[in-house]
Amino acid sequence: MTSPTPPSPDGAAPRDGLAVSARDVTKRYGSGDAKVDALRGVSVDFPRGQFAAVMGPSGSGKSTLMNILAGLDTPTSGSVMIDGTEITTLKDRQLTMLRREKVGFVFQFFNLLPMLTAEENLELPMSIAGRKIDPEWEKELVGAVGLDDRRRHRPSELSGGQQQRVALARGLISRPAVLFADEPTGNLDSATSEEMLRLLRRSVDEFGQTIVMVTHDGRAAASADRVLFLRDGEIVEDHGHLEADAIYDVVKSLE
Amino acid sequence: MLRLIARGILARKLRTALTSVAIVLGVAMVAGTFILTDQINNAFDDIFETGNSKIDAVVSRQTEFDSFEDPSPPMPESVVDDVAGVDGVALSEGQVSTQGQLVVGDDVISSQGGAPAIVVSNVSPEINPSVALEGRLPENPGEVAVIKDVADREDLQVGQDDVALATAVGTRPVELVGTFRYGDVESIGGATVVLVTLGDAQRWFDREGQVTNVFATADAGISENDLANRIRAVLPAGLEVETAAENAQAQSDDIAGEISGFLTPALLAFAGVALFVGAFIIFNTFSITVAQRVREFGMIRTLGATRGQVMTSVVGEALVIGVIASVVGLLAGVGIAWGILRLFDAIGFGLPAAGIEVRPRTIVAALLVGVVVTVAAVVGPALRATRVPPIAAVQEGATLPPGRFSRFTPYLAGLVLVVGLALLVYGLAAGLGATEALQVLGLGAVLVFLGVGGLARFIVRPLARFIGAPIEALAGTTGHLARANATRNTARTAATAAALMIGVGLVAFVAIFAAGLKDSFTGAIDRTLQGDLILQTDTFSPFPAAASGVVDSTEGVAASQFLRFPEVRTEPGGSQFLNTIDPTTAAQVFDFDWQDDASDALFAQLGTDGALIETNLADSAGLATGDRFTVTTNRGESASFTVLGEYRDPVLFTGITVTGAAADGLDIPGDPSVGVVLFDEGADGDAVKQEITDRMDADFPTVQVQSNAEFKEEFEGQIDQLLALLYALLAISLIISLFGIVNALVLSIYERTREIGMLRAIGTTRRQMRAIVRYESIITAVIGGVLGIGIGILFAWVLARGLEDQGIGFTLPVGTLVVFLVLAIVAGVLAAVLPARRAAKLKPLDALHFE
Repeated sequence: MTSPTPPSPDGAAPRDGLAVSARDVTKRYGSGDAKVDALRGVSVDFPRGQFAAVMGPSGSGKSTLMNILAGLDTPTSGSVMIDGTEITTLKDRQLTMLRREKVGFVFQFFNLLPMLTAEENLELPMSIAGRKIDPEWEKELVGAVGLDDRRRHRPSELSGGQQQRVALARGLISRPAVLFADEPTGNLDSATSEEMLRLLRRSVDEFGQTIVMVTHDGRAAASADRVLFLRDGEIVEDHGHLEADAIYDVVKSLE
Repeated sequence: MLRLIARGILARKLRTALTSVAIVLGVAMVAGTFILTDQINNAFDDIFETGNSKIDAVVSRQTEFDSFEDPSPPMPESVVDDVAGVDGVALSEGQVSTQGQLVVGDDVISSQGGAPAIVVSNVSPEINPSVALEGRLPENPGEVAVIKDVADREDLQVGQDDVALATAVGTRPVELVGTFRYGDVESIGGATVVLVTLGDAQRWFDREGQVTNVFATADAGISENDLANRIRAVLPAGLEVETAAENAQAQSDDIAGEISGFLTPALLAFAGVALFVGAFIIFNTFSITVAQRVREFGMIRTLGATRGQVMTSVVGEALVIGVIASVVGLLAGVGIAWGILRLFDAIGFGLPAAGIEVRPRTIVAALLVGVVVTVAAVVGPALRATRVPPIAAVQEGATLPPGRFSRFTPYLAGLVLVVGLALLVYGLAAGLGATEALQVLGLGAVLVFLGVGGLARFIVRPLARFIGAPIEALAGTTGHLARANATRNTARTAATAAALMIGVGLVAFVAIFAAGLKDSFTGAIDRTLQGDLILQTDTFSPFPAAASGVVDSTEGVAASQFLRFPEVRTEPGGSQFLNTIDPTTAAQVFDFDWQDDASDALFAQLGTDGALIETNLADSAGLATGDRFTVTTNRGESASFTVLGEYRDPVLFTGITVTGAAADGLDIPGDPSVGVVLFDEGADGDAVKQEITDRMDADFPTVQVQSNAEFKEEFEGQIDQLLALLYALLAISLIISLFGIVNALVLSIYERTREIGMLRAIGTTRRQMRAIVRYESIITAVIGGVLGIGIGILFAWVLARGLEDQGIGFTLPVGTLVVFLVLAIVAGVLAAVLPARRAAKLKPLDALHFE
């Protein structure tokens, strides 16, 4: 962080150089007696190239946080920046453009389009944005996820693990500033989960990809560089890399 | 179970509403047809009953059949005295009823629509159904009164001094002394009705010493029947007497017969098309929703519901929708009846209508049709719902098990298509009566639509690829996704497109058929008529024979032909047209397509007992040159003719051609329907035409003088008007099928909610989302359009082949068909508006977490 950066308006620390940065993010559903505070003032930064796992029990707010960080949901208050752009004030179209440029997704249920081939599915973020695909990059990605001989298959002809690998390649094709992964192993058996996590790890190590992954699976979180724990809408623990056993200990302590 | 059905409907209000529309419009057309025809029948009943309320018996000329050219043939005026002499007759009075038009300034006042222009002589106040409203009824020569609605429509003032009457002896200035109503009504179906004195009517309309009706009233204590019997005893042969009630009923029945024999079935056929399209949509909607509710069905099965109860829940939902839609449709029928009346009015077929009355028959028919069609359409989907096993409740992505006979459906659809085609051919070739032929053709058409609808899913993919290619080329990924969406469930797309296909198919069919009709008619004129002008009235009714003398005395006219073509009965042969020609100039004016060794030389040999016959009559009646046959007119006159030769002209000269002198011998009225004028060689055509036009305007203003080109243009214009009417009636089916596309898209979008969420998350804009839906809609609509146009071409071709003998050709109006395709695209865009908005409104987050 050697480049000069303008001071942020609230006088807090500069947030440049971060892939994602959240300040005092709150999210309140409903009002009056029925109100639920899903997030109670979360501030967190994700530097570029970091693989972060967000954990927490059901209802802890981890999915809400990810949705807000990814620009899929709007916070009740607070600020979110992706790659230096404040996103909470953006209109739908600008947000869509930002997602095209800066954000990739991997979903629990793969969410591939059944009528497109694997290749068409993975190219979708580029083709829908009308951007040119870098053939070298695509080739590298397809090789990395091991789908060279499955390019022309449709999702129904692929196994769950293969479908999720297509989804991962789709998330990476636009070289996003950050890849959000929502329970990426939630629908996979343990062997294919392992494979998926190795691929996520590799994309961080080899391509310098920033990843924010929401999971409740300790072994998944163990492949991350950093593990965050949420409870009742607040970040309660923030660790560097942890082994699975240590993660389970923290989880247990939080229950 | 009832509560489940009710909740199901309430939970899916939009879909229920969209689905109901499919049935509402069809039922509304059924109800509207009955309401409308009841209105018309009632109106005519009223008119004729009040018209005869003051008399007891009517004497008229006995006729063999009704004749358009000779609706009220005359009898000697002496019959009035014969009847007056009958014991028990209080009053006997004659009347002349004929046709003639009012002329105001330079304008001929025409009736509304196809209604006749009636001139009728006034009768004594004791028996007069007409009541003066302004001024009085005519009493002196040269006085006339007009029916109220014509006076209102044309803004006529009593005492106005520029009024004249177009008569058989030329235009006669008259004095407008009053307006009147007839019985209780101020309009008789838009007809212009002019009252004149009996003397004027006889003098002006070639009825000297004649009347057309004799009205009689009875002395006190003598019944109508008794009176009629007494009169009958003294009547000479060829005359008949009816009681006033019988006469009113007969007149009303004549018209009612035309309505129930033509208008009712024709409108019901359009209603049937609308319901057929509606059934496709109901079937499709339920097929989709049943597939979407697999888990729900599995769940209620695990809770102990039997297959029968699953069936009941689906059919029950359809039943409720059917009942609601039918009730709404019944109410909308009132609006449709009004709409159809306006539509006929707009294209010039004004019909009289009494107040709206919804008879029990109308209610029963509307409810029955709506409910039966709805329920019948869901039997298939409901049966499939019963095949969902309880385990489906817990399976992620459980799909509907295929129907038991699903692998036979393509063969079944193919069979249905083949049977349909066979029926089309049979209906045309088997020589059935008109009604049976139409029924067979109708059934054949329905089967063809069903067959193609059933097979369409096999060609949805290639069609979508073809139609989608330009969209994909222009729009890229959104186009590709749209095409992929359109082909992911080919059965669904096929059924959605098939609903549109039916409407487009019929529209294309009538357009193509009409083009063939125009070509065959204009072609026949070019081929047969060698003249330069064509004369006729705007209603195609006869004009005064004296007009011919005016034409012939015009300088520059080489020859003219004034044709009559009354309907006659021939033995053998049945109902035929008798064309009359002038043999001296026929060879100059006409170019007959002679058969065998017949030639123009035959014209001179015709005399009064020779006839030329058209090949269709020769074939159907087995007549050949040298044979003799008998002709009988509506007035009962009969004569034998010898066939001198055959010609082919199934358009202009169908039936028999004889000389005018022969027709005169049969007591056929001398007024011609059409005149053909040939100019001298080297004459200044425009000047001659202008001269004839001026002379006609002066003396016979009802006669229109047109060049052949103008005449053809007018004919084409009339066909176009008829087409517009058919388009308007078919538009209801097209609107229904649009709702079908809307409905299918809305359901598909609901099904694809999660996909839409993903697409939005990875960078699809709202505008792109709308485009994806719109393109899918366009592709579906154009598939329907292409299939429909294909079927339309097929139907028109088959029909044209079948009617080749009638001179009907097959012409492809390519421009029109291209317009239809463009309209299909527009339809697709319109149908997509609501679904596209719904798809774009989905928030990516909600959509992603959608179960």
